Amino acid sequence: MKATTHTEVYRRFQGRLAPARLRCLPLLAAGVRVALKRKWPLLLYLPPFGAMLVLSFIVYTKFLLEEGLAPAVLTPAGANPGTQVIGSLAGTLIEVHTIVFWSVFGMGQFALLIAGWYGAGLIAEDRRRGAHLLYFARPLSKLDYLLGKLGVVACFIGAGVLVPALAIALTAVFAAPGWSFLTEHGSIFLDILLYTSVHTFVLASFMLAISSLFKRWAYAVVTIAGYVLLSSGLANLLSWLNRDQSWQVLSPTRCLWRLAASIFEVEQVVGVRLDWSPALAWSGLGGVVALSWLVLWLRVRRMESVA
Amino acid sequence: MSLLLEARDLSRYYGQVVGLNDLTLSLEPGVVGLLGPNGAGKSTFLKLVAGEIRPSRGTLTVLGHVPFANPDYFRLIGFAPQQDAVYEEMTGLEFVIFLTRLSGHREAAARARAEQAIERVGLADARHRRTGGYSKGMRQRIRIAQAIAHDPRFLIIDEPMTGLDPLARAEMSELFRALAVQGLSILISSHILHEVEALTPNVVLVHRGRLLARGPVREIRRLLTRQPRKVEIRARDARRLASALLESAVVSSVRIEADGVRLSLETSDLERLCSDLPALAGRVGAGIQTFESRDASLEAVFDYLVT
Amino acid sequence: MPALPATWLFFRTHLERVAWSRRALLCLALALVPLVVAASVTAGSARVSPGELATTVGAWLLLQVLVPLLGLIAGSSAVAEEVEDRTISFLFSRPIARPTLLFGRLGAILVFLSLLLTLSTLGLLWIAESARGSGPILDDGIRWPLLWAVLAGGVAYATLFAVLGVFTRYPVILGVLYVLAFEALLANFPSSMQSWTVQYYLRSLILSGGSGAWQLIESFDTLEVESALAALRTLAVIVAVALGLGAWRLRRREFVLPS
Repeated sequence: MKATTHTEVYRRFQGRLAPARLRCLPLLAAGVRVALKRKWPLLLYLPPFGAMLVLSFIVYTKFLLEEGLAPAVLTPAGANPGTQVIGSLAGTLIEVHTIVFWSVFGMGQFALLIAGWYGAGLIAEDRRRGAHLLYFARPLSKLDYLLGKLGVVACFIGAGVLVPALAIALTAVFAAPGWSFLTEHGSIFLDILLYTSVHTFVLASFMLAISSLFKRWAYAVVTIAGYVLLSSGLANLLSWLNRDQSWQVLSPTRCLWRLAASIFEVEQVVGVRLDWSPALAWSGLGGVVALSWLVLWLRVRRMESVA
Repeated sequence: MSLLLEARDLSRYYGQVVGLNDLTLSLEPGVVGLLGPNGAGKSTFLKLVAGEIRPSRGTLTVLGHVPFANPDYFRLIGFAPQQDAVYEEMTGLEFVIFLTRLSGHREAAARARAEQAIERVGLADARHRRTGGYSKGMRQRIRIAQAIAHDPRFLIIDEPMTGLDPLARAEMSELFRALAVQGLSILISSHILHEVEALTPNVVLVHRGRLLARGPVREIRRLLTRQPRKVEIRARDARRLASALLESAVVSSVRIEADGVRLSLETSDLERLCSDLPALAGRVGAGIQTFESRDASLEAVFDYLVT
Repeated sequence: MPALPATWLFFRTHLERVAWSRRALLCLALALVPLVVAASVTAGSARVSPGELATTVGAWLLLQVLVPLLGLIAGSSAVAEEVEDRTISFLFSRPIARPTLLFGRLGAILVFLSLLLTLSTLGLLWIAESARGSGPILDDGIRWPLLWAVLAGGVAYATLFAVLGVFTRYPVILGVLYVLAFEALLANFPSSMQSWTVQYYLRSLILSGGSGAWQLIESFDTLEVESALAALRTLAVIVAVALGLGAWRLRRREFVLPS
């Protein structure tokens, strides 16, 4: 068979290709390794892990106080007669699921910064440096590429959101007498996994979609920040003007908060309006994910054909 | 004649990496080639001379000025950096006019100079096209144009032949020769010996941040001739050829490679070997297929100079 | 080349560049968002008064979101883009004073941004006039404070982010941290810490000279603010100090670019 533009003869491939494997995994591993080469951005994890320590200590203290004990750090001089009173207050006022909610609520802000740093350049820099030409000259499908990239940013987001929440819940498991927390509230682990999975998937998809639109990671970061600011501002504004909190659906951050409140059964949060339907929050997030994946598919398809 | 450039104990470090180390050098006006393998310190030296960076130690004066951030000095020089960077939204003409105006010329004068410079580098036809659409070679040429448009006294060019086809390289060499005849001093860096050799007999060799040799190319080559030259020959009857070669006074060693058709030999006089070899091979019927001098490269020169 | 002509050349070149870029389209689209929001609220609701619409959209959307965002998008490109594109070698091998690059390009950015923000604010006010609700009216106590605050904010943010680009290769990420984390946190803290944010002075410009309608905005009613003159003076000092530091750093900085 002769090629139309060359005088060389192209020989038909006669070998056997190796069976398809999860090619996204090497991409994921390489992405994480490269991202971890720079150490100082890990400082972004300082607030989440600091908060994790504080909140875990609060949970630990709650169970000790309930048992009539007090942590040594709080009572250096010995047992406090007020401990029993404090203990009963601690039991009613400090709910572990509320603490976990505060963890994911607070860490959500840092998750945005973490996702922005580690995720904004994942596809943008590939386009800028022409790395996609190398990727798609390999037997790598669009899905492999996307899953690999998604996995990279999801790892970093997950570390900031999932790990603190799990740590708090595990502290409760081990601090509670006779595994009572596990037997009575063990479903909190499923709630944590559910929420952090949704949070991570939504944020990661969104980050990658924005990254795929640009060739400079700086533009992607500004767009992400702009979208978050603008959507939150618009949501607040339209809710206020129309006296209808359903407009909060415009903001992905607000949707995630509403979802967290619904999953962890929190009814009131200072500074956050929860008087709108969680179903609307699910729809809002579903819309963000659908749009993100549509953008991703179209952009990566274009990258593949250019390569 | 006053010196063009004087460097004493010039050193430049990038953290733990040594860019230049204790370089002491003085150059007279004229054309000088700066040679060295990749990572030798050529670009570092040029950046110091171009006033982009400061020395970490030592002193450097060029045309009687200290280069770093010195507007008086910049009036006298033209610098074409190595990086493939231009203002992509500007046309070639706009790009050169803009930079020529920054050199202090008024609009009309800058335009005339820019047109002339672009003509000299052979881009007259493409001057109204955006530089974003230029090929690599065209971008290289437009960078040269901006460096010469304002009639500098001293031209500093980093790897000018990169990206140019052989014809363009010949044209570029001709341009530099013409500029030199006009009285311009030129400092050109390259890692290709024969290209610089075609332009100037005066070279400076650097290696691992140190000055290795300087002076006319002939003298440096003579250094090489004191070392045996390595040659590889592929012949139909390598053994017969080997025994015939051992009789030659200029051949110091011969080795037959494992495949039985290749010979590696060392000679103290490559020119004499080249003139004797056809007759010798014809006499024994060796049937020479290929002849290759293994150490004509700059790296080989450096190997000899370093070891 | 003398400083003034060099500054003018940078100003003119960058203004052309910015005005015809895709970034300008993005900024224009963002600047139209308050108008779109105001128009949709006016069309959809008979409850919102002109004063309430102008103050709410002006404070929450324009001042708190769009002014810092546009300042970041426009301002961070002043010097940092030249470094990222590696074209700074061409500029700094010319006989010019290095700060002229910062002043010229920033000037172009400020002109562009001011035009855009003025368009956005005037457009918002014009649309808000046609709101049908009863309540605070749209008077000069709303118009002028909002316009001055928006313009002052644009100048302050753009300057800060432009100067950030002189000090670091990542002005965008630091700018995002500043806006999303630093200002968002401190703007809601007790008053002494609020004064560390640009938003505090912009709110002072609005509240101290403006109509009582501004007090109706949630969180504005409890603010302790400075006088408009003091706020303007502080912003001017911030801008001047930032420019001074930027010029000083630019003169001394080495730009070590990868080959």
